[in-house]
Amino acid sequence: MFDEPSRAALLAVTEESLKTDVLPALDGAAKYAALMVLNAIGIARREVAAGYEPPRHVLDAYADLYGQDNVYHAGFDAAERIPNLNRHLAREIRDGEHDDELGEPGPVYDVLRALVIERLKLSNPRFLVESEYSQPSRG
Amino acid sequence: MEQAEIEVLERWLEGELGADFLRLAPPAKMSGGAVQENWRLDAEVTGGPHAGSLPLVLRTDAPSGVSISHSRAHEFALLKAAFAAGVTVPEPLALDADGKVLRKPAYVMRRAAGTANPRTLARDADLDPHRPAITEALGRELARVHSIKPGHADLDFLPLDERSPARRRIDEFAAQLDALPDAHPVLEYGIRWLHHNAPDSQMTALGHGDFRCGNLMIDPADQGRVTAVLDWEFASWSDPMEDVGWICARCWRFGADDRQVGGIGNLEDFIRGYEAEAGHALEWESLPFWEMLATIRWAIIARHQGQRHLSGKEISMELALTGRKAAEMEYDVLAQIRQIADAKAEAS
Repeated sequence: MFDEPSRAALLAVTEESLKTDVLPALDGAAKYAALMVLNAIGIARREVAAGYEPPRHVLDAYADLYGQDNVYHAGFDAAERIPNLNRHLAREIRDGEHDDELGEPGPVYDVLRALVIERLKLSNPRFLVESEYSQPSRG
Repeated sequence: MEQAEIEVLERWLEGELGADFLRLAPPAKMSGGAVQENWRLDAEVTGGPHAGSLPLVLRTDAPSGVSISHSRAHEFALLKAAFAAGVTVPEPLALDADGKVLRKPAYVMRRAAGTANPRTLARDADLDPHRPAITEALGRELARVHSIKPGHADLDFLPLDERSPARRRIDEFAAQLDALPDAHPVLEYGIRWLHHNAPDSQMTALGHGDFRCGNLMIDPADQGRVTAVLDWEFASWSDPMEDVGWICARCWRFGADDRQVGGIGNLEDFIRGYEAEAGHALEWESLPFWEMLATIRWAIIARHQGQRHLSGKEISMELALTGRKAAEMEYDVLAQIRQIADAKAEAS
């Protein structure tokens, strides 16, 4: 259906060209804007590469918490499962059902950690390596 | 700004500043300000108390403001109260609450020298010798902010309620999460932690609400002298420790993690300045709680900013990326909850 080079290849070359051909010629507000564009393209490129399959680590962590069957039945469509499970867990946490586990290692903490890590792998993988907040940020 | 608008502005400022004649160089929009628009004005004034060259800033609403921020008129009142309390703020000079000049509310204040660029304040090595003094000065500034107490005649628009400031924030967070389309289990978890660890303190003072690099202006050419505390749009009656937690949270250190106070300097210097000015201590031992609250608050604000972009009301690269930044704060929330639990387990 789609022609080549693929969207992944186009995003990768866009990022590279912006970095090497455009960025060095800029300063001030334009450079700041270009750095944000670069950041956004990087997120989009990583998401295209990751595809639409729900992340395995999160599903496994949810299976440890709620059981494999319940994870399977959380959505007719695989893509619905994690948002549905998140809603369910968020409600339980707010109702205080997991208060005794605050800060404790265990299945709830593992789900939350898996959720955050999967999101950071896409939005800012450097944070996982160096714990460094993304820049530029709101100033 | 169009020429006709500039002329209306000139005539209005003449009246407000008691000048015989006032001429503006072409106004330039300043960068930053996700919530408000700032315009740089350079006025040449003839006659009256401000005769001469007068550098000014005009502040007005951005296309889509955040509903939780104050109106321009309230912000002007806050600036006046802070100026009177001795906080280093740009002197507020004129208010158009009804928007008769620019068809939206606006006010004009003096323009302070220096920079509010967070990279300068948190990262510039030239400032290193001055960091203890800058940090101490910021402690003094915050103590002056907190010297403003409920009951202030011009600030009666700020709501006060019976809940402790920490409890009120926790309730607000839940409501703000409910206003988002998706569920956020990590933030819910953080909020439960806050619920169980909230201090009982009922101490209340004017909280600035966004006291951090980016809103603090310093003059690098003058040994990093603090020239202005900006952006009063999130001020509220709060626990004074909330502002301390906000500037100290890791998410506001701009990469200079070893300098706890906003990437600027050390907590000891800050406390020394604060206590010297206030004449009393705060509950400094509650700082980890307030840092956690700050991290959760910034994560929720970030999600709402991303939502503003998504809603189509304000298409912005910066808002869109800020939405994706929330995961970074969420990571810190989980890590800090664990750290605190581990430290407690070790101590017992």
